[in-house]
Amino acid sequence: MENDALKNEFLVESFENLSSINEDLTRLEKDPFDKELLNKIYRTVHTMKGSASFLGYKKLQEITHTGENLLDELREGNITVTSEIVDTLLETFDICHNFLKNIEATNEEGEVDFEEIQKRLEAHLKGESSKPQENEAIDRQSVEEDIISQMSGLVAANPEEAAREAVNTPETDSAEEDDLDLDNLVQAHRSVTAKEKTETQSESAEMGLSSAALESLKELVSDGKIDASAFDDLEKNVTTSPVAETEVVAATDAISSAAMDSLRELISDGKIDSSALDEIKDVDLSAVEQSVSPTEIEVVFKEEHKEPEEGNIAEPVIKPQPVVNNEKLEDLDQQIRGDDMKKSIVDSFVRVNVNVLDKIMNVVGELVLNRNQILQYASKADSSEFNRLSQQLNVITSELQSEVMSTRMQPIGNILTKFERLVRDIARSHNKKINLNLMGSETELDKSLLEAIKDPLVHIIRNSCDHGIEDLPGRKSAGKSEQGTVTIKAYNESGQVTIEIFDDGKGLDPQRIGQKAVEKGIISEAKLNEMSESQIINLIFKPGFSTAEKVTNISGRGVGMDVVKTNIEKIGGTVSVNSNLGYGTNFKLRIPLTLAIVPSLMIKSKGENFAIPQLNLVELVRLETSQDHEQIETFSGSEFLRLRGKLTPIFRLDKELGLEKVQQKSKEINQINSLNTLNPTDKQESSNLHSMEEVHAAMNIVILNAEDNIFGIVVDEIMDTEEIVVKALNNKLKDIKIFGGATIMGDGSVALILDAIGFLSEVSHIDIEKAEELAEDSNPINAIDASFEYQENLLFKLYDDRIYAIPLTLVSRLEEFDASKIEKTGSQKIVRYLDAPMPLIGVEKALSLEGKSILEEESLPEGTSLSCIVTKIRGRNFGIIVKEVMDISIDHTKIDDTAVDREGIIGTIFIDEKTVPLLDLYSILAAQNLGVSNKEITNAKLMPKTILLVDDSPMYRKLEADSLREIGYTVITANHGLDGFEKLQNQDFDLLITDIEMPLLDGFGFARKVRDELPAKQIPIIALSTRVSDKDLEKGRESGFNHHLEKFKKEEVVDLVNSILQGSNYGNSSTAS
Amino acid sequence: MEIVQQQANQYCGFKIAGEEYAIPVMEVQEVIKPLQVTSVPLAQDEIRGLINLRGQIVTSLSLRKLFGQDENLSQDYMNIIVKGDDGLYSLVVDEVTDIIDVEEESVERVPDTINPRIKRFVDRIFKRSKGLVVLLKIDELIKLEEKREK
Repeated sequence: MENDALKNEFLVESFENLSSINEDLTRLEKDPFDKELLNKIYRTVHTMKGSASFLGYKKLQEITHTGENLLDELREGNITVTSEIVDTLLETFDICHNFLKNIEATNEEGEVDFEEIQKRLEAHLKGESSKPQENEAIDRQSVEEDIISQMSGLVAANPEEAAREAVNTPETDSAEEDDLDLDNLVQAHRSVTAKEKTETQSESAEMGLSSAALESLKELVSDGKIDASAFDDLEKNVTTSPVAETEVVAATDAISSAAMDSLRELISDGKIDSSALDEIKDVDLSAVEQSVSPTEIEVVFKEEHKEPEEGNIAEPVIKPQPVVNNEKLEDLDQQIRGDDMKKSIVDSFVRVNVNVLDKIMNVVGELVLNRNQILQYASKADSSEFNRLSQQLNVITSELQSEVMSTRMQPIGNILTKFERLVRDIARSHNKKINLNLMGSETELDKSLLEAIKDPLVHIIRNSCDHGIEDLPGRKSAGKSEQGTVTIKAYNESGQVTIEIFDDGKGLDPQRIGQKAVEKGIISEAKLNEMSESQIINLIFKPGFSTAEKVTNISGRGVGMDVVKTNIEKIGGTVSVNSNLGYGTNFKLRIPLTLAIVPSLMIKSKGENFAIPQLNLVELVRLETSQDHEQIETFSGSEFLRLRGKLTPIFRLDKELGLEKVQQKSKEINQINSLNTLNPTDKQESSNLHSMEEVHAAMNIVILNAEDNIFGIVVDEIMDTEEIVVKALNNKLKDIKIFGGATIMGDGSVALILDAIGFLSEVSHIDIEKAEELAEDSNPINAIDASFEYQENLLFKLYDDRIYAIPLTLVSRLEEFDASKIEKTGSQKIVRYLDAPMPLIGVEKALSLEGKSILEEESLPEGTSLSCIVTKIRGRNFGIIVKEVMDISIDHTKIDDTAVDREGIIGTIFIDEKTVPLLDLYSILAAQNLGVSNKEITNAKLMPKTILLVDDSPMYRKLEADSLREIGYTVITANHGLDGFEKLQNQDFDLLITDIEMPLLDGFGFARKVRDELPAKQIPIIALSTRVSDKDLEKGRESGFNHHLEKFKKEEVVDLVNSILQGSNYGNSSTAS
Repeated sequence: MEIVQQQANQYCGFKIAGEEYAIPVMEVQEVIKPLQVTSVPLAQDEIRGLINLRGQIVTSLSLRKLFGQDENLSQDYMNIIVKGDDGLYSLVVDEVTDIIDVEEESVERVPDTINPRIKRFVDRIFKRSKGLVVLLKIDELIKLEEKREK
């Protein structure tokens, strides 16, 4: 048992160590002279070796030993750090990782082949140990010589010697003595100051180096060795005074990075104390005074005072040290520091098993509930002392709760930094240059979520590096810099954490993706043609998709992106992709802050409490007066709310859930036991409320969004928003999709959580499972995307029992008429509607369908009610009698007008995997011989005008053109901006009406092009779009639109066209309406 | 070891509509008095609702309904809390009788003639000197039934 505990301790520690080694090695590669880092790696490996040998893991010991030797040589400076060495070391520790995994699983080290790596390590040790040493020496020398030669031209007397002295004097001294004595420092500094003096004279020569110098200074700052304010001052000096800049340049340039490192070590070791430095400063000042001209003194003086000692003075003093005797310094470092630094960090942390935290969390949850009950009890009790104590309990519990919650939160940087290695490895193996840019690593996320998003992130980053970023020639030919960039950006946004992964690679090619998807049978060719680019791009999340032309070992195994999607969705997150072909790809992940706690709206219906997650909540609507209630249309038992002109299906929660019965049941169960002391009156009240509702009391409607399906539910009461803790339901209740779980409320009672998607699928006619798929195809996330266009159709059944659709824009009302209200004029059936006779039409005959309209029945039995769609065409209302109104479909697929088999049908749309014919009301009505003709239309005396109508959707093109032609205008149509532009060049038009979202050239671009290139035309432009946001309006104005309207508002459009073309309004209204 | 053996033969007895049933005592977490129940709309008939047992949500099952009998709405029913794979369940019974030591030698297989509605829940029958005790299978009680037509 003891051994087991030890082993576990060893494993936990070693895994942690390995991951830090990985990170450190990658960092080391970027900064090979970072001695402190090397030491850290060495120490970690050493610890691992020690533990391994203690526990008797021979192979692990052996391999870490060799690794340690190599690291030792590296930090001694006998071998220089190269990418090859870092490679070998990284692989070495990968092997160690495998060993550890084996130990974890089987208690044995197992068979891991480490012969080869062992040999490579040894090769590094033997073969290259002498050569690099020379190289390094030469390197150092050449650096010094560089500086010297730069100065030489300008230095007056014997500069070489002066500089050499600067380097050499302290070298011998400090080599001999372990303690740096003050005399040496002074002496050293004097010589360096002398060198500085010469350097200041070489102002112009050194200018180019200033940025490099600043970089190294910044490094010091970030290491905390120089405090930031000092650095700011220095920087100010640099920017304000060119003289000061060269001063800095001179001072910093002279210092090699190795020198800085040893300086840092010495300072942190407390080897240089401030009193010694003060003296140095004095000496230094006098030295400066002696040798530097007055202006220069001033500059130097400024620096002296604004920078702390380490920054300016100490650096040159110690500078030569590492050249002399690295080993000694290293020893010194180890002796003095020992484990001090490590302890101070490690000691303040305790490793805790997450399970323990979970348990604590649960207990705290119970405590909170208990507290709530005590508070409730206390408010009834008389004892003031008890009240006081319970308040105290309240405060303490709340604090405890928030603290415990925070233990689970971890910065996302914990996993992001691991990707440094990943990106590096991919870049190297593919001969690419990739820079990983991390932003917002401090953003916090629940530990379990952090774990859950790790793998998906790895997939996405692999994809970005492997498929996204081009290889070097590829980037060159694309005119990009050699180095590609992958940026991971994490931030908090509206109660969620958003993680974005950008790359500046080649982007996703929708054409290729579409082709692949068809090849792999993920989607049919026909369906592909209906899809927008962004929809096609999102096909990469479909199972079995992989675009890599050749499968590599990194990505492209065809299991990537769909797994990403499912995993992210499993934790309640979403993932979307946007891409700009040739410029890069952007993945966006949205993750809930924590799984356990969901902000929700609490509502009440028939006395039962329900929680609705705010994620699904769109808005709350309250209908106060009976007038407001007219906004609700009832139709064949379905209710719709006119929400800003749009018909939104609404459901009564009590009815859908059968709450009447439930209320009865819970009364029986609870009240008989007189348990329901908590809120019996509540229940009474709310049921009263409901009965009042029948006589049009206020009505609360919660508008929800379930995967882009907007619907409302009518509830009795809207209470507060609460942060609820989600508890799963047992299997017995799992198949009630309406509920997403349960939660415990403040008073200890249980409330069910309504799941918007589940609710809709349970209550609506259309199988939402399928609708979901449709919504997925159209990518709900891209609702934010401007390139998002949808159409709404009203679905209904005719008397042949098949489903048909008409565009919702044509529907003005849904009505039901009693059979007795129907009158006859000749053969035409009419009904009085809004004080005018309205012809009723059965379309079955016109379409030559099989079924027979109820209208054709000779006599209708009393009490029969007819479902009627009221549509306003040519300024008159018509009632179309249908068998049953089904639903409203919102979809993004295009209308297929290829399969039109008969008159009266515009085309077909694809809903719920079924093909639904879309009726052409204009031609149907024209065929009905209703005695209405164009001549009767009020606007018959219009001036003849020609309108150019540009829209990519054949349905809208037809609808709009028809309605304008009816009034008497000549309408020419074009498919997209470019088409329209051509037509505009060749012909004169009086008005241009354009859609916004179009292929090739969109409405904005089109308008700009017209305004820029054909300024003489001065043609008024009306833009029509499905959505009009303020941003769009603004953009439209800039592009040159005169007006910008919503597509659905047909009458407004017609009015506007009339007012423009008939001369009254145009000219004084340049603002968009 | 002996204690475990002994416990393995102990059953928690309870009554439903006058008849005595029992479930293995090892499976029982606790027995509690009635708590406030939140009904679950659209749930199967036998589900009384959800109760809050010290911060945990427990699904309350009416054994009467499950056995096809009318709900007895007496005031002093009892909840026997058992643990399923998917969380806690509360079996609502008329009264809890006693801990019964079941002797292997007086246990019999399920008779074929038993009420088919109950049959699937029954493990074995224990013949006591006074009366029979029906030993139930907890797994069957809390198992999800085949989806029924709504």
